[in-house]
Amino acid sequence: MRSSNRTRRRWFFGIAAVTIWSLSRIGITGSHFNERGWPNFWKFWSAAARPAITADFSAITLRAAATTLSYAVIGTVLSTIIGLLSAPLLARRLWEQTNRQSRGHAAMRATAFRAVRTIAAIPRSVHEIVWALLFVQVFGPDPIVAILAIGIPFGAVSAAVFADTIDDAATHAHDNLRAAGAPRLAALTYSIGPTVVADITGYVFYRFECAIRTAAILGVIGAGGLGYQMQLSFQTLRYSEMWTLIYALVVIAGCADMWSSAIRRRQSKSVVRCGELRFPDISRRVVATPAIAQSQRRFDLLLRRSLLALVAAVPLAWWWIDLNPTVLWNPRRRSLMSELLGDMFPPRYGPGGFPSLWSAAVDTFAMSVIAIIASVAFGLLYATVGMRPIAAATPAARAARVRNSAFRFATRIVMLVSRAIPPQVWAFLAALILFPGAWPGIAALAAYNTGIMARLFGETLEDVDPRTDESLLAQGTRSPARLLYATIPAASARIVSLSAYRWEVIMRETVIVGVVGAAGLGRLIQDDLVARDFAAVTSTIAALVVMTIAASTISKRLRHALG
Amino acid sequence: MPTNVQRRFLSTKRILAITLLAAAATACGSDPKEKAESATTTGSNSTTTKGDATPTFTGTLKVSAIPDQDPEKLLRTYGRFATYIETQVPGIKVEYVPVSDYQASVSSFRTGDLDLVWFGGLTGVQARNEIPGALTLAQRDIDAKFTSVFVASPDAGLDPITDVAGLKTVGGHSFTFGSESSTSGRVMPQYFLGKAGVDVNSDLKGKAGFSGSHDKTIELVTAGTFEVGALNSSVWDKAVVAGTIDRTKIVEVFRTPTFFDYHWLAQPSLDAKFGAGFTEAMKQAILDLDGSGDGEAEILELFGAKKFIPTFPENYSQIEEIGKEIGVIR
Repeated sequence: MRSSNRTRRRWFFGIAAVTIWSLSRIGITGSHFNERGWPNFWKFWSAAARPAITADFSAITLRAAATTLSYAVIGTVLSTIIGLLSAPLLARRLWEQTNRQSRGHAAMRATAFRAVRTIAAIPRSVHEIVWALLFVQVFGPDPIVAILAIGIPFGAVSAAVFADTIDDAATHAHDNLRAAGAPRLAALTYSIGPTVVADITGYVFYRFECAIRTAAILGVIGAGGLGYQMQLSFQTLRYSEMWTLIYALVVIAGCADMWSSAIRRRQSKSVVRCGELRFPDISRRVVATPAIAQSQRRFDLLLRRSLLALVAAVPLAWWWIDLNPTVLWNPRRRSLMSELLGDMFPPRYGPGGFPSLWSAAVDTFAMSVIAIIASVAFGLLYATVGMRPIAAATPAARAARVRNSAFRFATRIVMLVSRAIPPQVWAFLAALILFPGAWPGIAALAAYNTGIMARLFGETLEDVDPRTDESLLAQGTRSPARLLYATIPAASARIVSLSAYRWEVIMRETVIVGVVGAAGLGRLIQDDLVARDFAAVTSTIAALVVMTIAASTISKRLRHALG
Repeated sequence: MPTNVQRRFLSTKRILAITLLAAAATACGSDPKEKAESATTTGSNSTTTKGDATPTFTGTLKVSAIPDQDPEKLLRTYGRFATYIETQVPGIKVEYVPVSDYQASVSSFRTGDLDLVWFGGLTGVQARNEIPGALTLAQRDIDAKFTSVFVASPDAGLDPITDVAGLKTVGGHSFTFGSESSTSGRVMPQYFLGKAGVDVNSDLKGKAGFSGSHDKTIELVTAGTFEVGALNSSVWDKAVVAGTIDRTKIVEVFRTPTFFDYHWLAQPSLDAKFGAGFTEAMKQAILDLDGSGDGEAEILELFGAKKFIPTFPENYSQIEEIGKEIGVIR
């Protein structure tokens, strides 16, 4: 469904107006720049050429990498379990009315469905790092903190995505079973289960890729791994060591990116839907030709092996981080948990009361808007520069292709690095050249998310049907023009939708950069934690949840209007 | 190229192993009685019980400290400290647990994962608010009259400041604190700035930064990233003596009036955990650190003190008041 030009224009002007308002809220003047910080900033970047590679430090890096990977593996598995168990509850199909029911009954069901969906949105609106900071109050410095902090919010996201998958899946078998009198849950499990397994596996590996980045971010709260080591090196400004760790993260995250891309690329041509994925469109599941059947078989093999590898890695990871889940039901920990809940509830405002919460929320909104606009702009730029070119038809094109390939490779590495550096490290770097305030936070979020957007946009652009592009090429159209007139318009719906989803994610992420951002809810939550005022922490978290859910609603409407 | 000793040893298992080895070596090398004698000959007036205690205690004592300095320095300090305690309190194993930031040390004390922690003034108050029976065991001689120093890069054009009111001139400069939860690196400097009429939210160039630790404040001011900074005077003095700072790039401009700061805080339940009389034996061992025995001088030097002295909760009521005033205790 194409939206009318008028609707689109209205959205466009709306977004432009909000961006301008956000910029004026945060304020753009040269006084935000701390020109005295350049020498230190430059020292960091020049250290990229000489990472610390002593035997000692290499061993430390390898061990830290193993820890980060272990958190990612177990966290992903836990989130998948949570997702699978709760997805059926969130599937519209389970709540759908049947013919026998009265209208009132149906309305009640619809309300209950909405309520369940909204409640299920809460855990995923709270950032992993906030979960971790809360669990640390109960479990102390224990690996279980990282596992739960990844597993719970990721589990909630997975549940929602799996539920959509179930709803999107073919319905005949399900309807037949229901008609034959099978109970709801059984009908869902037996009819739709088998068809969605592949889709779900693809998503699990996307989640795994995210979990690696998250595990590195969590390291900074003392959970160990690459992020923790980065924090230690940063504490003493040992930039060469930081680069060793960054390169390790680049390698791991790069491999995971490729792995999950491979799975999704083979799975279907229509893949990405956000930071969350769009599963293969059922309508595009083509009639089986021998070639397709063969690629399908190859895919199944890859899928099966990947799953096997993930499952096999669990005991190894478990042993490496010395995970002991019995702390979960240890009576002392349980009493600490109820103590924490007692401190958190009932929530109350911090010292500034509602006005300061409101003003921080407005700042957070403005920060997230500027950060997403910047990430989309730069992400698009880098994605187009780093894009794999279409088949070179002419000798000239072939020569250009060779010339550009080194450049493209470099671009991809830069993007990989920018998403491998955890946002809080970006934040500290930004804080060297920007005075503490909203700007270093915005810069950090933009730098990190540019790397992610470049990847998602890159996949999207490469997925575009190349025929228009090829015909323009045949007419001798130059490549920027081809991008502008053929590729980007064809992918525009997806680009908008990816950006809208990412905005929600950035809204949550503002909390990570609170340390340097003397603005926004992230700053507020930091102040609350320093004062150990958990009742105020709760109210700040609640504000963040409300904003994330609001962002989610707006982004849904945007996708609907422009998609 | 800096060494990476701290990381190699950061695994707690390794720390434990090394500590034990060192403990064994110390035990072989020195006769405790000799030590007690040398204590009397140096004229120490401590009523020492060194070497007299019978090994009635068992278990592993988890010791930690707020990470106010370079992690490598902390590891050296608390590694030596652990060894010392093991020789003084027989039967006890001591494990140093590094933490990532000030608040993590309070959290882990709250959860009971740490038995004995070297807290700052503010974090100590926060920890006692969460574990009401926690015991203030001892402080260094310098902690009863602790100060913060304001340091500046010479080209900031800041004249030496003679009294608190003079801090007014810090206004208009870029400025960094240490950790947000630091007493000498944040709470007291912010309090004194406030007394001089400088609001850290509006009167500085940009907003105040939080470097994270005292060492890093020195580095950031030296590098010129911030024109002015405030930090723990003990860390500053040690760095000055060690000659590790570039005096052409960073100078002291002011030393604050005194306040109570760091202290050892113990869980209230240690006797039940390690044996009757443990807390007292532990406290005595700390108070006995006077530089007379093997390695004691080095430990004291690492702590930047001449000796440890008793301390009491009421010493920190001023910090608590000020903490409430600036909103870090609610």
